[in-house]
Amino acid sequence: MKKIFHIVALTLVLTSCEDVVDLDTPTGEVRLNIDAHFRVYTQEVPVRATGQVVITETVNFFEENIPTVSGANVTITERGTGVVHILEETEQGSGVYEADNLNFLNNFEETFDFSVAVDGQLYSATAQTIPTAPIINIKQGDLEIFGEEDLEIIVTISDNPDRRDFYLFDFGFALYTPLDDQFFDGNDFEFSFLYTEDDEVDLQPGDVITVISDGIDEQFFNYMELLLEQADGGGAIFSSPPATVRGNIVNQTDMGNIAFGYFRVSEAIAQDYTVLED
Amino acid sequence: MKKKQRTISLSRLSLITVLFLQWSSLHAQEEFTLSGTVTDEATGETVLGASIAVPNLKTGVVTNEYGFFSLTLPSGTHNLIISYLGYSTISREITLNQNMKLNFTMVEEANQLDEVVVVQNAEKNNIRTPQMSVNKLTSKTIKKIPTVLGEPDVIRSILLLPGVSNAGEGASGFNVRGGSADQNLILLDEAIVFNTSHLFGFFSVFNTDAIKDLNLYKGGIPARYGGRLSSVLDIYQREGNNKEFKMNGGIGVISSKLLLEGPIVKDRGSFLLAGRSSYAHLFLQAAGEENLASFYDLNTKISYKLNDNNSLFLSGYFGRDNFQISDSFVNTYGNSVANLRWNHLFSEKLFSNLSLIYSDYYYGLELDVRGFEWESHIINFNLKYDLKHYLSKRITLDYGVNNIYYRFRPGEIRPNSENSGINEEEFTNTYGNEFAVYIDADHKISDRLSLRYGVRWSYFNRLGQDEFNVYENDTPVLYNEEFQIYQSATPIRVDRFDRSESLAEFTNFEPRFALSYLLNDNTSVKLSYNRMAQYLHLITNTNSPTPLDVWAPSGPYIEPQTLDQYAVGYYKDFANQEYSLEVEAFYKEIDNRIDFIDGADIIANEEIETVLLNGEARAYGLEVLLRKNRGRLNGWIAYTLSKSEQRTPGRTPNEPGINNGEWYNALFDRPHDVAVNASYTFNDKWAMNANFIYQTGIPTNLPIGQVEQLGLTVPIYGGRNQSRLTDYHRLDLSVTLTPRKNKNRKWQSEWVFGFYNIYNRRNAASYSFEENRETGQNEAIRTSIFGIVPAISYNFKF
Repeated sequence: MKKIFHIVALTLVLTSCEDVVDLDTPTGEVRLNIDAHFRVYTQEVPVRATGQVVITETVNFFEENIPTVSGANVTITERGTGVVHILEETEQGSGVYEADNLNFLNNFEETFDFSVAVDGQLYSATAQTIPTAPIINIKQGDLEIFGEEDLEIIVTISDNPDRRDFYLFDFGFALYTPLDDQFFDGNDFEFSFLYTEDDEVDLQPGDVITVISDGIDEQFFNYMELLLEQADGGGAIFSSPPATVRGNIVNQTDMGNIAFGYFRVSEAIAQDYTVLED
Repeated sequence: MKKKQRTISLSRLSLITVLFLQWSSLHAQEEFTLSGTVTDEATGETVLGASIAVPNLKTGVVTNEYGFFSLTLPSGTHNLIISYLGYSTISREITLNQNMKLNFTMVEEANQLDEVVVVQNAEKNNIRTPQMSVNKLTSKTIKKIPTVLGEPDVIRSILLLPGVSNAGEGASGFNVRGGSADQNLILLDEAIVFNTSHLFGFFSVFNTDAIKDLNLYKGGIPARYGGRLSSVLDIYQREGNNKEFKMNGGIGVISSKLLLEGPIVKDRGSFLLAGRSSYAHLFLQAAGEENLASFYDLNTKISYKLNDNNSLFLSGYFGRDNFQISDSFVNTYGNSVANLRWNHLFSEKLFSNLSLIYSDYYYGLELDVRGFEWESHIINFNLKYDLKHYLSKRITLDYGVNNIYYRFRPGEIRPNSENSGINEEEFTNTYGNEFAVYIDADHKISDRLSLRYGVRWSYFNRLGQDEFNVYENDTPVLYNEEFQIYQSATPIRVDRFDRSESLAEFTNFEPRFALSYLLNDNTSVKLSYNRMAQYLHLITNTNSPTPLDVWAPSGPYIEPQTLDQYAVGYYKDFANQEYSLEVEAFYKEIDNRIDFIDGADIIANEEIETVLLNGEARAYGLEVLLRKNRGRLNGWIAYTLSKSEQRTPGRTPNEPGINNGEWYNALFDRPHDVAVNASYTFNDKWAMNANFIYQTGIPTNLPIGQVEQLGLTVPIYGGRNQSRLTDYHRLDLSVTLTPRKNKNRKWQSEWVFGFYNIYNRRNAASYSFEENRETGQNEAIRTSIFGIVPAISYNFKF
C-alpha cells in the first residue's frame, strides 16, 4: 500500500530538479550480509527448487568493491527429520554457497533451520515454505507515467480466499512488487507494473520476460517494502526516514554483532511473456 | 444554637454586601463606561486592534476581534487618541457624565511619506500588555512580501518571523519554536483548519484578499485557546464593504483571483465572495500534457448588524486540490468550513460571541492501476461561547466554553470499476469529544505592572467505536529481542463499543500566566508560562506533513501530548518609536511526543497504534526581532538561535528505544535562522521589497554502509537525524509599480514583478542514495525544488 501512495510524491518530482552531488558518508562497523533466498516451483514437472546463499561484508556506500566472505559453514536443517543439508562455496573466494539438490524444500509442513558459522560466530534463521497464487494472465497495457519508454505489464492472479496472503512479484532485472491481499482477498486481482526508462531495461518487441510469483510471509513482506524503499533512494520528500533494514538472521554468538540479510523459502510460479509492439 | 450562628453570619454577610455595594456605587458615581466599535470609513469594516488611548490618564484599550471596545473612565472631559497603522489618527474630546456609546470611523492614510506621523505600529509587540511572543501581520504587509510565482501567501509570510520555520519549498505546514506542524492551531474566523496548503505546500489555502489580518501566538498563549501545543495562528476574514459595491482581482502566472463585496443593506449588512483558481493546468492540457495539478478555493462571508447590540456573521470556505497523472492516478483533497457567529452585547461592559462551526477535511484518491478509489474525512462540529467582560478599568475577563465533536473516517476503499478485483472496505470510524472551559483575567496592577492569569480545563472523551483492537498485555508494539527490532503486535481480539461508551477519558488543567513590567515609557520586560494539552496527533514521519497523513485522536493507546513553556522577553522602542527591539528566550518541554518504529508503515494503516512509541521532546532558544516601523525603508531583521530535540527511551531495560534512548535532533531543529524583510518606497509609483532567509540545514540521514540483497544495492543507516542537509538560504525581490494615472479614477491597478531565489541557489530539499542502473555506480542525488523563479502579476480594483 505504501508504494502506491508514493506515486503522489512523483507529481512533486515533476516540478523539481535532481542532480548528483559529492558527499562524504560515514562508515559504520563492518557487519556480515547474508542473502539467502530459495524458491520451489511446485507446479512444474518435475518440481524444481532454486536458490543460493551469498555472504558479503558491509562497506562504505560509495565503495565499489564489496568484499565476499569465504570459508563459512552453511547448512539448512530439516527440523522434523533432522537431516542436514550442506551448502558448499561454488569456488574459493566467491562468497556464493550452493547445494546440488534443494528439492527437500518442497515440503509446506517442514521448518527449515538455516545456519552460517564463520570467524567464530554462529548466525541462524528459520523459514517455512510459503504458498503463492497462480498467475492467470499477463498482458500488455499502454499506460505511460514517466515517459514514452514506459512499458505496462498487466498481471492477473487468483488469490486464495482462505488465507491472508502476501506475495512478491519478480519482474526480472531486480525489479519487484510486493502485494498484500488485504483489499482483494479471495478475488482475481489485476495490477500493473511499469518498466521505465530509469530501470535501464530497454525491452524490445520479441523479448521474453519472466514474471515470478513468490509466496512470502508478513514479516518478509514488511522487510521487502522497506528494502525497496531504501534501494529506491529513501529520503525523498514524502518517504519515511530511512531506517536500518533488519532481516531475520540472528547472531547466536554475539547478539550485538548483528548481520544483515534474510533467509526465506517461497513457493514460486513463473510465467513467461513475449513483449509485443507497443 | 446552630441556627443562630447561621443568622449571624448571614447578617454579617449582608452587611458586607451592603458596604461593598455602597462602596462600588460611590465609585460608580465617579466612573462611566465608554464603549463602541471602530470601523473603516470607506468600507464600514471593523478595525481589529485599533488603539483608543487616554494620554492624560495613561490608560487605553484596543478593539477586540470584532472591532469592539469598552473603556471605563472617571467622569469628566477627556482627550481620546484613536490610532491604527495605515490610518489617520483621530483626536477627540469627550465629556463623560454617563455611560456612553461612541463609534469611531477611521480614514485610511494616503501614502504621505515625507510627513512623519507618529502612529502605533499595530504589528509590533505592544510593550505594555502582558501578551508576549505574539506576531501580528496585516494583509497589507503579507501582500508586499515577495513569493514564488507572485501569489501573496500567509504561511510563507510568517516564516519570516522569529521562531518560525518550515522544511523548505514544497513543504506544507510550519514549525514554531521547534514544534511539529500538527502542534499549530490554525483558525480561520475561529474555525479549525486542518490542511493549510495547496499543491503540496506551494501555496497556502488562505486568500490574502479576503483576509484582514492575523495573529501568531508562539508563547504566553491566552486561556481562550487550546487543543494544540506550539502556537495559535488566528486569521480574521474581512466582512466586506457595507457602503458600496467593490470588485478587485489579480492575474498571476499560474493562478488568478477575484473578490466581490458590497452592501446587502447599506451600513448594516455586507457580503464578501472571493475565489482563486490556478489555470496553468489548462495550458498544459492544451499542450497535450496528461499530468495535471490544479487548485481552487472560495471564501464567503455575510455580515449583518441586527441592531446596536447584535450582529450575525456567516462565513464559509471551500477549497480543493486536484492532481492527475493521465487517468491512472487522480488525487483530490481540501477543506470545507461553514461558520455561523452571533455577537451579542449584554451591556457596555459585557461582549459575547457564540460560534457554531462545521468543518470537513476530505482526501480522495483514485488509482486505476490497482483498480480502486480511496476516501477519508475528518469531520468536526464546534460550539463555542466566548465572553469578554470589561469588569473595571483595571480588570478585563475573558471566559467561555468550547465543545468539539470529532468524527474521523480514516479510509474507505472501493473498486473503481466492475472489473476491479478490489473488495469494498471501510476502516473503523473513530469518535472523540473535546470540551473546555476557561477564564482569563487581564489585570492592570499599576501603571507599570500588568498581569494576565487564567486557567483552561480541558476534557477529552474518546468515544466508543465499532471495532476496537485489543492486544496482549495492552501492548500494540512488541520488541523482538532476537532480531532487535520493534514489530507490530497482532490484535488478540476485536471489541465492539457503543458510541455512548467511553474508551478513554483525559482531563488537563492548563494554567496560563503572563506579566509585563514597564521599566520606562519605552522599555518593558515580560515573562510568561503556559501549559497546553493536545488530544489529536498528526501521524506523519516525513519531513513535512502531506495531505494524506491521518490524524489520530488520543485513546487507550495514544496519550495526549502536553507542554509546559516558559518565556522571558525584553522590549524596547527607540528613536521616537521608529525602531523597536524584541528579545525573547523560551524553554519548553513536551510529554507524550509520539515517535515511530523503524520502517513504520503509516499510510492506510488501520492499526496505527502498532507502529507508535511514546517519547518526549524539548526545545529552547533565543529570538531577536529588530523592526523599523516607518519611513521610506521599513521592515525587520529576525534571528533565532534554538535547539529542538526528542527522546524515545525503551519501555524496559532490554529495549533500545529510538537512537538508544538518547536525545536526538528533531526534524524541526534549526539552530540558526535569520530572516530579513525590507521594503523601500521610492515614490508614489515605485516600491521595492526584499526577503532574505538563512537556516541551518534540516536534520537528515546519511548511509553508513551498503549491502546487496536480491540484486538490489541497499544503503544501510545508523541512528536517526545524525547528519544535516546543507544550509538553506535565498533572496527574493519584488518591485511594485502603481501607475500615476490611478490617482483620479475609479479603476486602480498595480503591477508586481518578482524574483524568487534571485541568485538561483540550489537548496537541497533531500538527498537520496541509490545505484545508478546505467553506470552501476552508487550516487547521492540532491533534490531541490525551486531555482530562480520570475513572476509577474497584475492586480486591480474598482
